[in-house]
Amino acid sequence: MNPFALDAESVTREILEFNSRLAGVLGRLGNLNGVEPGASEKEAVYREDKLVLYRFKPRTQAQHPVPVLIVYALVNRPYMADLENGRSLVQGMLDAGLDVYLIDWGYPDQADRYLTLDDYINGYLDRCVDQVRQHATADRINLLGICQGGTFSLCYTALHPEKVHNLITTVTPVDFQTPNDALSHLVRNVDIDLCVDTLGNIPGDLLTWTFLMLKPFRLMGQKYMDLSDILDDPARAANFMRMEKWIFDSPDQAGEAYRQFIRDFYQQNALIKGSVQIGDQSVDLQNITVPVLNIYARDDHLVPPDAAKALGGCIGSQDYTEMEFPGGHIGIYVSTRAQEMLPPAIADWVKQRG
Amino acid sequence: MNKENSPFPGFDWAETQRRFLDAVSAMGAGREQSNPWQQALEFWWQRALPSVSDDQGVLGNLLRQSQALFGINEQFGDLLKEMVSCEPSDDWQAILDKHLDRLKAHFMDLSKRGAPSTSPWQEPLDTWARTLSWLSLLSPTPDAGGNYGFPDLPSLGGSRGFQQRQLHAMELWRAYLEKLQDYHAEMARVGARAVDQLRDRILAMGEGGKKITSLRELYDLWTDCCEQAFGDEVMTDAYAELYSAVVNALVEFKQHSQMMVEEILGALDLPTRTGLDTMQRRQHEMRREIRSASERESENMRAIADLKQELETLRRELSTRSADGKPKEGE
Repeated sequence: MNPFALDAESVTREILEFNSRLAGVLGRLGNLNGVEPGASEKEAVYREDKLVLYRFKPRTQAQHPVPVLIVYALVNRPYMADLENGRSLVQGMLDAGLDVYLIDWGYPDQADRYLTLDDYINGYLDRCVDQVRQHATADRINLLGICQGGTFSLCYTALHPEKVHNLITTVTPVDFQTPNDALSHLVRNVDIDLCVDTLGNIPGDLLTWTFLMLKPFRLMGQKYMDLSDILDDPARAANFMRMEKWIFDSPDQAGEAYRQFIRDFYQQNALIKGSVQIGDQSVDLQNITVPVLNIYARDDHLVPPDAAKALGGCIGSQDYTEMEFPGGHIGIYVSTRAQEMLPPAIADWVKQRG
Repeated sequence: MNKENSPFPGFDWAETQRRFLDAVSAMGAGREQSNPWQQALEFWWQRALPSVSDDQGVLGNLLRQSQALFGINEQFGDLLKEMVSCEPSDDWQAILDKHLDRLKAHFMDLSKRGAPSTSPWQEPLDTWARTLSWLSLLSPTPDAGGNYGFPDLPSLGGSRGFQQRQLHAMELWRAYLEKLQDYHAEMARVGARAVDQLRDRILAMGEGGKKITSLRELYDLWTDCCEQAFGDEVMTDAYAELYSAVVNALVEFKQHSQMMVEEILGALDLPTRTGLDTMQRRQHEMRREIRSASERESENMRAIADLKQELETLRRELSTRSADGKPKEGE
């Protein structure tokens, strides 16, 4: 049977209706207000170079005594975890009675060109952990790593197990060369030394376009057609614009740290092989003996489930829990389902372990 | 909305709307136009789109995608006309094949020429161009004729060495363009595969009794097929090699260009990137040494404090004993 049920009149009507909607949309876009991201009150408790360590204002009378430090990736900005009211992992965790801190790595510039992974993990991250321990009067803290921040958290916990009480990893790559890892596939043969030696810091825009190129038709095309359907609703329109801001708000990457991360983790898959060196120390994931909660996204096209689930076979911990989220790499933080699932699950898991 | 409150500077929205609607109503006045609504909309895009620069982000993307939607109508216009007018007894699949084969031939022709394609296949090439646009001193996108001009490089004179480096720059640029051409050719082949996917899905819809009832549905279907074909391509080893080849070639050209610029700056006794890098590296190493020394000092101070404490304890204990080491009376 011929599936085409279009005729000239219906197409004309559709185009005219779309055109009218478009004209209205363009006006409304210009009048959108209140699209700045960030839902939760916070205060800066420590600063170093471009880095700021924030503590979020508690939303409950009492908080769990062991604080949680969120370690975000260097790629993209951490306000994704606190995008807006009702779509905030941070807010959910605060409402569940956790004491939440977050590292904002800032925007590296040319002066940060020679920052290494050692500087980030054994330097900045370690000092932030000490600040949280001091601020919260806790010997050990809970670490929650997001994506590359989770990889950093794994390395940190393996190198400084005495300071970590529990470890939570979310959409965190561990095996960087699983068969369906498109990102890893793309960079496999890129001359990363040539890139870093030539560019210095890696521009944030390059990473943005690289991610978008994995699904260009959907992410650079169809998404904007969908926009015309939702702009009648100011709240949904503002949500869209916040996400747009985040997607295109990528910091530059410090050259040396980027070189090592791509070469060692993506191209050589050294983490799972146990051959990553941070400074003069080897990272052995078997040194991780604290309880670990590993959350991955079922439909993640940036960190495929297998890439994250590989953690289970690498660590020395006897208390390892996996949790699957039925969504994608970003949805795990901003979708409605994520708000219902993740914060309570994380809070319950943490509280059960003291 | 008029010129004062239009989002497009100097653009009289109300006047443009009025002219657009006049053009649309002309369709009903019986004037002969081969694709009347398309012509009316072309007027719209000619006025609206040039006012929107790439800097206008969401706005620009929205307008460009809207243009892509209407481009679907143009691209598939002949197909749609024949499909909706064919009788139940007509072989609609043959009609479908005829038009999709023509579209596929278009992509295969592009693949032979290694030329960039046109909408609606423009997305990956646009995105690719944007990805690389900042990598080069100049945008790698071609001009209207599809030609890539050789970038102008500063030249101060005719030293043989510098001329040789300029020649090498031209070789590197040519090497990059060859890789880019290979990439465009492969993208065109992927486009042809997307057409095959589209054919398969339309046939499946026909067999399953499903209908395409709007232009938007056709756009979504075509987008899906393109995404699927492109996604399959991305996971091949051949694509990974091609992608890396283009990136590496462009960065190599950029590195060589930087070296030439540095030579000129050096001749003018101006700061160079290499010099600044050296300073930054040394500064970074000094900071690490200072921090390391500071941490060692803190450890030493703690150790000294512990030793002082221990010494004080020993002194107190000693003061409670007589010369022969026995506790004093009363202690």
